[in-house]
Amino acid sequence: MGLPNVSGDLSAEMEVDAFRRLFPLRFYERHLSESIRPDARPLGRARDTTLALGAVASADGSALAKIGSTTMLAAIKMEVMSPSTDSPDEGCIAIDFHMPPICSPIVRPGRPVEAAPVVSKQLSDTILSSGMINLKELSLVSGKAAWMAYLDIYCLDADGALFDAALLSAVAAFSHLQIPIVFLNDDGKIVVVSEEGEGGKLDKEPVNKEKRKLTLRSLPFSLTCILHKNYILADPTAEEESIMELL
Amino acid sequence: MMEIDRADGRTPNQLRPLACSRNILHRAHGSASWSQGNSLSFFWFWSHGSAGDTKVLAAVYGPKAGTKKNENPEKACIEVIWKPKTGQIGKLEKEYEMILKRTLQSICILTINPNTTTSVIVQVVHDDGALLTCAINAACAALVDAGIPIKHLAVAICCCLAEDGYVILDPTKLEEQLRFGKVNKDLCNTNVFEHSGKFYSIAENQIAQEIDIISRETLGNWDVNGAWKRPFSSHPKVLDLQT
Repeated sequence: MGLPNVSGDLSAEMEVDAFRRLFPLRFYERHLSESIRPDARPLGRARDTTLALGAVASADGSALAKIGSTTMLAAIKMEVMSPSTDSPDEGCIAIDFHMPPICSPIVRPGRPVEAAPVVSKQLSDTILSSGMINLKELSLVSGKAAWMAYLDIYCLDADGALFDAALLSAVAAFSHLQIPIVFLNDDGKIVVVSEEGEGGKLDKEPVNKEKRKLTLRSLPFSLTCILHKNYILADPTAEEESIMELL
Repeated sequence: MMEIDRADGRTPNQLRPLACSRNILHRAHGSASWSQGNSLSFFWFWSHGSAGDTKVLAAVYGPKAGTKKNENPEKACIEVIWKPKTGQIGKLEKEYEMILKRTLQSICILTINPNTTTSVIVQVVHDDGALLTCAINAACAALVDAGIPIKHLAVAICCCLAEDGYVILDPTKLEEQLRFGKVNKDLCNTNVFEHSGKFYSIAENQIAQEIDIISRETLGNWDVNGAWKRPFSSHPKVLDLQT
């Protein structure tokens, strides 16, 4: 548009990698006109996705999701808390999304990324409004004790489509979640039973007999797309996102 | 087609009245205020709890020399700062800033003044639903007032799914919250009245319910044997007819 047409003279002589760095928009548009992308995907195809449950052994529920190179690790820890007065038989979910400096060269320690709080908020809106989790299932003793689920998602590699991978890892972590067994103490407090086993001390009545999983009603799913001129690209990489955004 | 009833009597496709003023702030290079809704008299404000309008003020400063570190110096840069009415800046404000920045970047001609930054500051004056759309409209009007070169105007409208699955335009805060299933804890316009020896409680957002006046227990919805499906007016008056 406003750029001089230097690339026309040099394109025959330059190496592909140099051309990709110097004139990224032209590089991509040469591919898009043939309905293909530099990683040989058609415009509408997403990258290969893998999902591993139970990646964090110490957490109550966890999952590792990879969409192409974008990697997200989600883990859930459960804690007992007293529910609020206007919803005494409902638990609570707190969702947080972190982008540590490991994920991308543009993230530096001490300077928070713009994208992190935005994705965090979009994630919690999506999960809470989709009705996937019935908060009443997180209740223990109505009015006195309920579960608080802390979901933390760490981005280990940011290569585009962050929200998709984060949502996938969050839903997978909830599907893997097993609610721990708790006892009701004599003082009226809830005590979480530890894995080492408390042998013959079964004089206290457990509040829930066995580890149970949450029932997930509707699973939210997302696909990020980029609109560039009159092309729609599904599941963009970080390079595509940074170039096409400048249109 | 079923018509759904909205609390303020609008049809599902009807917007609230819009108002825009520009050049309000004299130090800023461009400024505009945009409001959606009826800002009627003080009495309306008082009796209905929250005023029925969303108002946003936008100011534009720029173009100023220099861009930020991660931005492309070959193009102009837009920076958005969102100031909420109350409270600290949190994730919601960051999300609004990002959405507004991307929208404004797509309408501005960024190649005209490279290596410059234009700052758009958005101040929320009052929030009664459709806040982000009001901000987009205000920011676009402020950019026009400042003379920043733009390709075309940006227009925004807010749609909401009502409880029964119908789409309504330009929702108020109450309509937005009901969709998400959150009970409006600051409910105003409630009343209790007696009729034929029974007591009923009414609120502006739901059907009347019969209550037991001693134990204050809810006994169920009162729909006049199926004839009435809407909320009542919340300030009923008993007329004493004398013949």
